[in-house]
Amino acid sequence: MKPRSQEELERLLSEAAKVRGNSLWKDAMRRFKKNFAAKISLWFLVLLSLLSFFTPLLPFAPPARVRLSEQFQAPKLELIREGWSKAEYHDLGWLSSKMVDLRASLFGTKEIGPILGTDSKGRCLLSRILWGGRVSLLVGLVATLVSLLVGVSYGALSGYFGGWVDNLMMRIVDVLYSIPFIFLVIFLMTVLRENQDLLEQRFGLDRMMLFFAVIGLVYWLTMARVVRGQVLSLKHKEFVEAAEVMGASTWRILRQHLVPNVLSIVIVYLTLTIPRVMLFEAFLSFLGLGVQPPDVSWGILAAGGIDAINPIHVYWWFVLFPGLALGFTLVALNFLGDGLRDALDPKLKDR
Amino acid sequence: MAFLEVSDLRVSFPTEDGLVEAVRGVSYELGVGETLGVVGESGSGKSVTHLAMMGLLPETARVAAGRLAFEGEELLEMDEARRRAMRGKEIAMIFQDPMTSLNPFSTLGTQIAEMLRMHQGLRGKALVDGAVRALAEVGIPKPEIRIEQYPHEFSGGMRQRAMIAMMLAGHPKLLIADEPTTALDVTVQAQILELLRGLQEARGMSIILITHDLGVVAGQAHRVAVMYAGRIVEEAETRTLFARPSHPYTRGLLSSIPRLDRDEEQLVPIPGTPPDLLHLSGGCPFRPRCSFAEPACGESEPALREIGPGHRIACHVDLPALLKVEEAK
Amino acid sequence: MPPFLRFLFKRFLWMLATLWVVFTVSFFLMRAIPGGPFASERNAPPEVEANLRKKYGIDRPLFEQYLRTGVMLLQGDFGPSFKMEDYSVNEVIAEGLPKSASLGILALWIALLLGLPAGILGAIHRGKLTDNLLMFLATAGIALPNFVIASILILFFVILIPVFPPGGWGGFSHLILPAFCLGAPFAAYVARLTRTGMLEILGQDYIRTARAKGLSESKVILRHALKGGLLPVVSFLGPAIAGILTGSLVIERIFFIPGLGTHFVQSAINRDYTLAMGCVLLFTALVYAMNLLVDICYTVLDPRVGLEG
Repeated sequence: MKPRSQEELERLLSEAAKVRGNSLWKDAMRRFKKNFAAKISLWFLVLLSLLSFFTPLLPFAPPARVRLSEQFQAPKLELIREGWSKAEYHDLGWLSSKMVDLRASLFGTKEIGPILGTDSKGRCLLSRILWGGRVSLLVGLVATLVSLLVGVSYGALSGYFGGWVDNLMMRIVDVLYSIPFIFLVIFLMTVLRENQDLLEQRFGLDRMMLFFAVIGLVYWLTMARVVRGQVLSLKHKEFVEAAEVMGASTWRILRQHLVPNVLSIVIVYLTLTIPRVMLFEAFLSFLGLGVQPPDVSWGILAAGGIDAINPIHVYWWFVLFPGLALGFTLVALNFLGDGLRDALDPKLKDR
Repeated sequence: MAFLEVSDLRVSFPTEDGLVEAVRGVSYELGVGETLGVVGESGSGKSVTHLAMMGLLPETARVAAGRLAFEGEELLEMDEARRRAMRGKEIAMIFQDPMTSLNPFSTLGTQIAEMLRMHQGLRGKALVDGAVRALAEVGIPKPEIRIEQYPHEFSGGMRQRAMIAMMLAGHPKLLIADEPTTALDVTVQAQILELLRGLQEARGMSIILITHDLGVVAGQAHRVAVMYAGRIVEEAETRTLFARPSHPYTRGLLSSIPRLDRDEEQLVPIPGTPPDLLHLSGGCPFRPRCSFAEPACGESEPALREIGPGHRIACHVDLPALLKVEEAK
Repeated sequence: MPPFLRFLFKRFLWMLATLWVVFTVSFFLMRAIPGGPFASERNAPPEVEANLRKKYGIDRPLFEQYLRTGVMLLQGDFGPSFKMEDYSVNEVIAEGLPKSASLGILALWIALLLGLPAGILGAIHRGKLTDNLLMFLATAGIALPNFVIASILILFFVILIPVFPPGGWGGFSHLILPAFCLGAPFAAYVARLTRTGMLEILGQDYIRTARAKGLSESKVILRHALKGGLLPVVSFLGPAIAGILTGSLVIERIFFIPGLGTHFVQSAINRDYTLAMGCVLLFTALVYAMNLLVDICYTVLDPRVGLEG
């Protein structure tokens, strides 16, 4: 056989990678489309995300506006009413602030009435659910991304270096695995909360950012293990050796060969971890250890609902609606995650 | 009335891509104490035919036959309870890979005892003795220790012996052996085959020996049926089949076996690949790989016809005549 | 030393190492962070402060404090409560642990009693209505937080149709609803795992052999399929127990059960650091011990697996 030129080999290699890549995604898309529950979940989540994002723009009541005269109102079908004012919002970020300004010019002082009822302080439940959703979803997304970043980097490095470095790094993971992180995190939050202002002044660490980071730290272990496994098995596959022989740079190898394989795992991991993170956030906020008032999240709402349960006055809306919001979202995320996993690797079906 | 009578047995499976006809009209007869060798490639339908006979196919399978009678009783007309009662007791089956076919979580003693309790009504100490005896009968040394062991503690050949011991514990009249030696070393193969021969003689059992290896049936079977694409294409007494193979496929199989008595430079494989059972053309399914094909072969599927005493083939071509002409040249 | 004892010893050492890591991290968090609880003395009332000084030697160098506390812990003394003047952490733990334990054990039983049959049925009737329905419920059970399930159930069975008492600690009827809420998500996991395990086993050759022997379908499933099919569930018990401990924090709060979970959460809210650290260490040890127990059980059940020395 004639020796081939460098370019020809490169071309063959990238073609092979592409072919393999294409058919994987096309097959996956086909399988995914057959999954009814997953498709509905996807639509639901897309709509929810859009709704969440544009909440400040929409004509809802301010979520933190306390009106004791309207305490515990049952849901009323009062669609439009007056009385909105821009002043009753707290702590708006730059973008949200602009959106509220726009809303003021669009809708004036009109707002949507308490169609889902009010809570113990007369605050509009619908509005609180939507604003709370923003926080919960944001935490879910950001914290998961944090854990992803940490996990993937850690796992990739460990796998790539191999040898004693890999051993050591994985031992650390093993030890960390046996620690019930959740308790440690609660402990950590406790200690850190003590000195919120100090930390903010000294290190410029925003409360929320700290919260994200801490939660993310709980979930990176699994990803690290998985990615390391993938890197290890890929390290020994022939085409990587071939690429190295041809002189392809490390970066190139990583990009063209590692990424497609790991990507499907990452996607599945994301969709399954986001609900777990959201659950954890709700959990912490429920206990009073997470998001603090006047901020609102679904966990805080759930806590409020349960606190308000008493045999004399049944404030069912307060219990039901936040629960449904959280429940539907988590269920949708789970169905989506399951659907993606079945689509990307049908061998894992029924697992 | 023959001991086992099979007539026009058909088995099909509905799949995502269509209906797969795995068995398309198999017919044969078996007598008491006889061994029938059933030879074919993977996908020829040899296993499916006999799983259907045992009633071990998944629910989705569709089984039909003109006649499927064991000792005169129609198997397909029986209710499930009666059919189940026959399994293990009158008709038994052993499988290809004893490692995966034995329960890894139970000791051999427990597994054999299960058969003894069910089919021979033994209890208590008799069970233990029976299990020991069963293992001894198949030539396993120190059976009293072995009954406490798990399958993964046995070697390949011993596992197959143990499986034989277990499945024959009910003293069945018919044993279906589905590729019993395929997963074993050649020397062990011979031992197992000898074991089966011995048991057959001792018990007067009939055996259906399924294999892809013609060499296995050579010393073992009284008659051989060769299957291809879900049908029998040649059937004859063993000696006749080896001396006068008359179907192109059989000839192909024989030429591809290395022989010790002849000096051959190259093995001649059968060209082409096994047929796609989803998309069978109307004619003979072997045609794409056949060196003797004639126009008629593409038009209709050949039926089984007798070309000698107890010798049938399903072929449009008169191969023996053709070969005589070739030789004459 | 016989292999089993060697195995136990190694695991025990690992546990000590893990606990040590937790202890060290907690210790330095509490003392080294500027403005931390021990660093600034403005937090503790004078009596407690005196106690602390005596026990921990707050005015001593950091490393000496570390050693002293470490030795105390090794002797099983978790020290005095940071916020509750008359109580030691040990006393609080002794009071709360039995309650949480009963709740947790009951929850685990419920998880198995509901999950196992559901999974087996799902596997047997794979693809049919029963299976789809059960698996839908299972996914919902996993996704819904236990406090959402709790709030809905309380609404129905405590308020609207008063079947159960609203909470507190008393007889069995006080335990049932909380244990159910605690165990429900795990029942869902168990159902899914069992179903998967069973399906995998049912596809194995030896199941075909069992049928070929002439066994009835129910015997095939009960005697041959079950043992292998349940193995994933056994492995799951470790994380399940950890999860039940976690879930108990919320459930105990909702149902006003004065168990260890409540005390831990309270300690977090009240900044009762010694109690909080004691709880964290205890939880870690418990989880570790349970995982060890589960691993041993698994080895006993699956003859192909040996103890990884």
